[in-house]
Amino acid sequence: MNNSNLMTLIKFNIKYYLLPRFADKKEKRKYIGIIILFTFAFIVPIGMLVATIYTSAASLTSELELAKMLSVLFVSSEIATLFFSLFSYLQIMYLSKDNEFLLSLPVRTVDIFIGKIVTTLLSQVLITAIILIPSMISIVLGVTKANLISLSAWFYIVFPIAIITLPFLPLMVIAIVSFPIMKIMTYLKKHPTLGAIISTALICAFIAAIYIPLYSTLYGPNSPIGEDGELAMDLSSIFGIGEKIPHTFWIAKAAMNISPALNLLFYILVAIAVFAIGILIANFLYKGFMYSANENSGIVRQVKKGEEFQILNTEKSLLKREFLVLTRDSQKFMNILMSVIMGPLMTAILIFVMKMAASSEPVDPETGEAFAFTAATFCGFASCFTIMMLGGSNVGASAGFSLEGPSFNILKTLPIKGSSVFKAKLKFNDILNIISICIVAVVMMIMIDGVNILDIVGLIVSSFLIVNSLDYFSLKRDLKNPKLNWTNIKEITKNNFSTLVPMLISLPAAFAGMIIGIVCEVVFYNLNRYLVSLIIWGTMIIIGLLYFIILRGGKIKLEEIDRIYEEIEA
Amino acid sequence: MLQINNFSKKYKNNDKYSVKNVSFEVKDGEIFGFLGPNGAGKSTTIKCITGILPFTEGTINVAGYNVHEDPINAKLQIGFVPDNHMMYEQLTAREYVNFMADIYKVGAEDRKNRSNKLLELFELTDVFDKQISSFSHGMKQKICIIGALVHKPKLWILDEPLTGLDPKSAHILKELMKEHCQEGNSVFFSSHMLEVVEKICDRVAIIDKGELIACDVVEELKKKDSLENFFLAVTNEDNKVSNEDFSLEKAEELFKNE
Repeated sequence: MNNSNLMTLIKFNIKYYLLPRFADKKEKRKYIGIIILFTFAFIVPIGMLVATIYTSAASLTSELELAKMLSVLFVSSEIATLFFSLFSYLQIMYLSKDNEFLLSLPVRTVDIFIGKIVTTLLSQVLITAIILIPSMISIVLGVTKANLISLSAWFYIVFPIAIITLPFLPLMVIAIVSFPIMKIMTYLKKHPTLGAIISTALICAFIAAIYIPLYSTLYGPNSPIGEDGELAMDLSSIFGIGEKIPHTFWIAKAAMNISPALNLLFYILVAIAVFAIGILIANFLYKGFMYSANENSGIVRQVKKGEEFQILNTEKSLLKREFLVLTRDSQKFMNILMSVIMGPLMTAILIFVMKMAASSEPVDPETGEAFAFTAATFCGFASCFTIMMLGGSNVGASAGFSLEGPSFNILKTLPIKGSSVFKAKLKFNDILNIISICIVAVVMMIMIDGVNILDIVGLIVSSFLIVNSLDYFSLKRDLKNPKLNWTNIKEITKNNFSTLVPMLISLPAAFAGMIIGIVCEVVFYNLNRYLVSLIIWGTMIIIGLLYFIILRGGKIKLEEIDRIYEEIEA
Repeated sequence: MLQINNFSKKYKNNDKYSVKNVSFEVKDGEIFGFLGPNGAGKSTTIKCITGILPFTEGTINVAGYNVHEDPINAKLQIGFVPDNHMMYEQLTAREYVNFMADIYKVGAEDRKNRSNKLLELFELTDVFDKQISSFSHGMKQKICIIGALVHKPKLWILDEPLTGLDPKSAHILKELMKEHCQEGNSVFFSSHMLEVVEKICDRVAIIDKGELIACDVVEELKKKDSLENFFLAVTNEDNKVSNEDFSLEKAEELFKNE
């Protein structure tokens, strides 16, 4: 292996993928703003985690019990790595536009592979550190306060080793699992639209496969959560799971000074073995994939006779172009599809989980009835997720012009107004929004008892009003400052303030939907069902109209859009 | 056909002018060559003419339409072939050409006849329904040319059009340019291939460091020697001549001193 090439690639990938790059001071300030916002967004869940760990650590009485708890904590960080890394792994390893360029350089494929996988590993180490460092601090504080257990120097030696090595196993799982995903995508290269749909479906299945068993365990018949919401099992029973996972239990025991050298040795040997075997397999698969992926004999799309030179007006032509260009690029389409699918998926998962939670509640002794959420709560949550996923996470709108990349210049040379291009993009997003909202409506009809026509119509109208307004706002924002010189789509979908702002703006409407549903559940449970629907959806439609007025100001301001479009310097 | 008067361009967040006070004209029926070293301002000028970049100083008129005030009509007169054949690679060649024809409002018969003629000329008939992403550089260039010509523009603007074309296709392109001009239209193109420019252009402008340093009939510019030697002489760092001071006599003097 040429070590200097490898080091060059590693340094390059870290600089390119991990370290922020700023065109100017304004961009740097925006980036710092994003970091601060993310910190505030994650403070609550991290805070809850820290509080739980502190309380648990303070209540444990032996090093072995704490070791079991640590083991559970380590496994949880591995699951988090698994959840957060799959998509970005695919982006960096397989879908990045620099792959072809790198293959042309005098570097071995294994160097390209290791250069990129070290980068993804480092980003996962960062996530693990964010979870484990506050956890470590809270354990130290809890144990110190209770004064029942003592922490040796091994605790402080093992934790940094855990932060660095815990991502190994989930990363290797992803490296191997991603191969069939990419194989399917390549096989379906002749039908990139279908390929993106299947990849998105696989990712959604992956997410469901994590959430459903997790919540089934929490709320199923053998749930550790008791009737009063408190833990029905004692902590040592819950943390007993930690004992059953050998590799994390070894390192946990080492941290608690239980045969530390031996346990740490076992763990490190297993971690290295997993990493080495995983690298060998993944590299073999990656190399094979990289060369086959670049073979492009060309996709032929025959046209029907008589339609070879079909005429369309400017609006239809622009809309058709939008559709073809976005859906035939698997990277772009997958990003857009995720926002379309996630709303219905999250709604379905939540309804399933809440029904399961309700079914584990005891029967009311007075009424003899089992507890069940009414349609009001479910409708509220359905509205919430639809707005958040469609309006807040729609890359097709928030990066609508950025997605054009350098080919934006083609549009600028054409005898068309910027407003025509804008309208075509808005229409394209409207079509996807309608599809997603209708899927949510179908999910509601199937999974929620007592849903009525007012709920369906109300969901469609209110959600469309809100997401259309958000899309208009996002598209206009992106038009003012499009990022056109990207090689990796992550540069515009993830590391981009423009995609965060619509999410923040969607939150008030999303939370309003959730809160109205809960309020109706609690306050209006005796009212006629249709009246309750009227209250929920009437309120959401009013909110939709407010969004429409504030974010759009009513009609599209064509002249303003034209002016902004003409002033863009690509 | 194309009139550029006192045109200057300064990029946002940049104090220096990329192009300063450039004025020249492309007449009807003329093939006009636009030359300059790398970074001289050729692409910036072309991008401002075609509407890719905005500008605030000077005027650019295409077939009587002011690019700034009436961009739509100005662009309707232009067929542009960029140097990097930027196009929608997810589309098939047919879809791309049809898209261009729709935007330029070309009728069904016209688009069919013009496309078929050009496809035959460039030998691309068999790949017309293939996705552009699988094309070679030269094939993409040819499809770009077809897309730019399908609406029979009055002014054809090409940025480095011969790069990547095989000799046969380059010859066809040169013939197309001549044919285009014989019909009363004009061609404005930039190139580094001075021997080609010498052969086919009627007039030539040379730009360097954002300033126009020569603009005349090719025959006059190469009176003493080849266009290449003239170009090297006038773009030599030591021989800088400002726009105001420029004259053919001055250029000849510089050339004599080389």
